[in-house]
Amino acid sequence: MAIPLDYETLRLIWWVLLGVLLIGFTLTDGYDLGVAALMPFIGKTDEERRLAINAVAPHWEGHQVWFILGGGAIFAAWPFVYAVSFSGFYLAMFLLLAALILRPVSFKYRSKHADPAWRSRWDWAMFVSGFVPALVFGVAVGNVLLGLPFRLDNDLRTFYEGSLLGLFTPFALLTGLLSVAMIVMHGAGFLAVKIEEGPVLERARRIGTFAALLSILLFALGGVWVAMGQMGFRLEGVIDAQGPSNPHYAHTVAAPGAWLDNYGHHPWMILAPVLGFAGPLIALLGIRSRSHVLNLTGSSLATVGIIATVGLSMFPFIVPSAIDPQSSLTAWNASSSHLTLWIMLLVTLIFLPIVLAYTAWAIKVLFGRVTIEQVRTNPDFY
Amino acid sequence: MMVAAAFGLASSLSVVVLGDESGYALTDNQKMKLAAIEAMWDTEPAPAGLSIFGFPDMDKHVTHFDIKIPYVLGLISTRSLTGEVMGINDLVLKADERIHSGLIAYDAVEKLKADRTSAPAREAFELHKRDLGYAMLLKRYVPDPRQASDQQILMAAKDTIPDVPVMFWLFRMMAGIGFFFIAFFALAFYCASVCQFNKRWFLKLAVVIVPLPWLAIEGGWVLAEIGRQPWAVEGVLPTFLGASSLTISQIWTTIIGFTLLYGTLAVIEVRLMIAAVRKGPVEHPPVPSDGGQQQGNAGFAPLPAE
Repeated sequence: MAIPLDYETLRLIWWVLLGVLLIGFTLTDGYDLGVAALMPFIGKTDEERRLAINAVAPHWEGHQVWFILGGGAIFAAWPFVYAVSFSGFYLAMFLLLAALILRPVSFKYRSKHADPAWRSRWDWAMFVSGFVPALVFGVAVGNVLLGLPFRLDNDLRTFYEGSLLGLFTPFALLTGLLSVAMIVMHGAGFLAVKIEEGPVLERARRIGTFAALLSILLFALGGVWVAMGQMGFRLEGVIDAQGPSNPHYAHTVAAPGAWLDNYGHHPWMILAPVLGFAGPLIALLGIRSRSHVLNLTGSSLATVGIIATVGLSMFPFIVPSAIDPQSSLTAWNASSSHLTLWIMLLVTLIFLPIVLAYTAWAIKVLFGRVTIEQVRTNPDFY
Repeated sequence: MMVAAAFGLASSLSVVVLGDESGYALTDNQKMKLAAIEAMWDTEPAPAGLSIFGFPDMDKHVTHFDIKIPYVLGLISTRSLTGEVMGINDLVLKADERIHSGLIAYDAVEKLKADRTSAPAREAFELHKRDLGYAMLLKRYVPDPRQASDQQILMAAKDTIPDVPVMFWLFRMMAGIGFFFIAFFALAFYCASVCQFNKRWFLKLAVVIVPLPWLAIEGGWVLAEIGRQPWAVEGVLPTFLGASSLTISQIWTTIIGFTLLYGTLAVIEVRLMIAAVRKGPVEHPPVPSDGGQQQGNAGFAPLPAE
């Protein structure tokens, strides 16, 4: 059977799907991470903190599916990207996993023992489980924008020549903090629609205001840095979007400022950074006017806009190499085979709607605000 | 006890069926692994015998004090009286052949790297691509496999033999535990259903052997991994080429880190469990009217989260 879509189209679709999965993860699990990172600050009393915990408790496990799905999709659709990033970010990945492992146990162990010291320790564990992944994701994205220190040898084996501390450059710290601010804003936005009016909600509004302002500031700073800094790569010569997945066939050069090229070629792409600024502003508007739904809408749009900005600025690059531009991975040279992409697309067309459906169903079943009264009386609450 | 014994018997019997199936699959896909498990150095006239005891010697390619049951290996691995099971020495010769064929594919790949359109190189590659992985085995000895001497090719061919004594004994340990469980559960099933046997030592023995299935599983896993060496993907990717460029200290960091993290969590978990057991079950408080849950008065429920 002939594959009805050509290789270039499938690669483009899988590039978009990579973005969809990352955005899906941030939209859903992002607010769980945000709420977890806020745990020591959002509630003054144990009951108030439990209010916040039980707002996300029924959802976070389902949301984590996006994380697994993202890893699986990179593995299957972009094997080079998987090899380079999972090996290169090895210790960062360890930090991330260790923090994510703390999350379920914090949710579950915290409630098993009434001792305030015990609970306070788990609140801080929860903070780590939300803050560290948000920071590491952002730092990773910053490094991808800068280019990773890897090269592919003649047999296309990957060699990574960086270290864990080497990831924490000033620019990467800035993107890391932007990621934290964005995720905290989203967590606060979610709390505003999910818990009853009261002191916790007021705190979420205050924190949301601060996080939204910080997001705008850091996003703007990041944009200036990308424009002024020595950042960016460009493909030169004939680009063979249908060709075999061999990065050595493309001619890539380091080109400072090239991350802004796409906005010149495709002006519609400017929509993404506009959304990145408009989102936090809408969230601020929602917070000011006590329209909680507007608040959450704004924080959601912000995550979509900010993540899409990174992807579109770099397109077609996925992971450029800082030490050997010729090894850079792009949408046209780092995918799996034509047939693999096609089969996986069919699988995705079946299963993605199922995931969306059950996520929506879970939201519907659990619709409504969590109250202090429920925290006191419902024996199934954490 | 009868239900437990019945399930134990049924599952230990089904493990034999599964084991037989995967042994049969090895006959086709991983001949070297099968030969190493059996420490079968030379191809025997069909049907081959099954070793139950012996000390395989990697240097001399013989098994000392070999005790064999005639015909059985040929029967279970080929399911016929005429099928041959290849021995290790013949498999090494075959690997040597495949390395020579793989070198042609390797040369074609190098030519294609320089000129993607070269038709003769493409043709040579298509003919020999199945053996490309074998040529890659030479990269342990020379950067460019095409420069390898016959001596090095022979060394690479011998590299395809995994650690035979380890394979031989791990398999016998694993299979031994499996058959022990059949005997144990058969006895338990008989005792529980017929003679109402309820001796304490037997029950204690049942607790003591709890780690055995775990040992057998780990043994099987290690067996599969060692038996696959030197390949990460059999016949395609040698392990030493498939490894990433991570440093040893990075790997130690994560091994120690994960062990500490999970160790700490395990200690906390066990202490919580003990505390819960001490408290014992409590009767469920009256159901709140908005809960809508149907709960009988006599029912026990877990402690509510506090």
